[in-house]
Amino acid sequence: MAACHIKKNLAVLRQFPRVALNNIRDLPEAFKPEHRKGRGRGSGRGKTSGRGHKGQGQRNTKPRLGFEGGNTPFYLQVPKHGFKNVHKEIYSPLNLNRLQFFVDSGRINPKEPITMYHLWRSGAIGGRIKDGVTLLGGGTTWFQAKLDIEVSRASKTAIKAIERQGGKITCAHYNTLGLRLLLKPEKFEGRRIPRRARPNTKLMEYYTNVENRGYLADPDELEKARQQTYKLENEVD
Amino acid sequence: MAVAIKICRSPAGRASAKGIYSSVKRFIHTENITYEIKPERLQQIEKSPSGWVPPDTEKPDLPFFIKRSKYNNLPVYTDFKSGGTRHITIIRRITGDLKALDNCLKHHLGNDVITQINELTSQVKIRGLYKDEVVTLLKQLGY
Repeated sequence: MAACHIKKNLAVLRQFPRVALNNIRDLPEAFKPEHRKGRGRGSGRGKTSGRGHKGQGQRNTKPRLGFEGGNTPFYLQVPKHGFKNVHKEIYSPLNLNRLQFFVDSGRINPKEPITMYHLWRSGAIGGRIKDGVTLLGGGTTWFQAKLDIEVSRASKTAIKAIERQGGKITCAHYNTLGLRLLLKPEKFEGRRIPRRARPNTKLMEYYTNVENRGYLADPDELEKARQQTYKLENEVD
Repeated sequence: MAVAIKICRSPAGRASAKGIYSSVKRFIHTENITYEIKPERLQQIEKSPSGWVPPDTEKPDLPFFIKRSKYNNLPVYTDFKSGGTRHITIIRRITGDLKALDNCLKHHLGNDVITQINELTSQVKIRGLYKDEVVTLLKQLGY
């Protein structure tokens, strides 16, 4: 008979809606009252306020992190190692499968030429574009969109896949100011629009090469190369 | 009994015993639901290279509905709790009968799958990573 009231309560509980965050709360005994320090002998935490006598514990004079009591610390014993290139160019990767998904779901319009502005605005590239975008060949086999696209760099497989569909791809150089003008044109309203910078000597090799579909390469040769890959890729299929 | 009523602050808790029964009725569900997948829908999914398809023009004839997200994707997400060791699949934006969706998922993924229903936030959580399976099923059903 002792468990009778428990049974009754459980039976009632079963009829209620599920226990959720809006209908539960803490028991009143769930929290301990805080210790009030330095409020006289009677409280048990008077005089030294539970900090003991003298020294580090009382004065909060803990030495800095890594200090070994006067020994030469570990972080000074070990010689420096490694190097981080501050001037390294970081290109945001974009794979073809993601591009295809954005075309399918109507977030990128394949009928108009696509620049990095469109990619960034549609959300195909999340976050900040630092130096540009590289197009990579993930999902090459089922890529079916016909695009006119301009990015900073592209892999060979990506170039092949885009030109197989009769599309057009160019790799163009944008310096920091140029990229800002491309991505945020509203910032330049009412101001003199800066001229586009040429790539430096090191990058010039890349952007004058036909194989990379560089924007400074000979346009006739570029067109020839495009048609050649289109023919070759479609023959194999 | 008084304790139990205190715990529940919903209108059902304040009502009399008869009132409780009437408000609880909406959580009682039919066990067996039948659903069929249209061959036209399967064709439509196959045609799309990336697998993305818009929701079906006709609303599926099922007791629950799932609204698409802002960017027109199905609101099925994965979550990693407890330092990345506990894997959860979450289905959001559900209206209607959550239990029916739960039964539907169990029928598709297997009965030993552990699910949790939250009526307050109208979400269904599954233990384990089943995002791909759930998305393909919901797509085929026409959501």
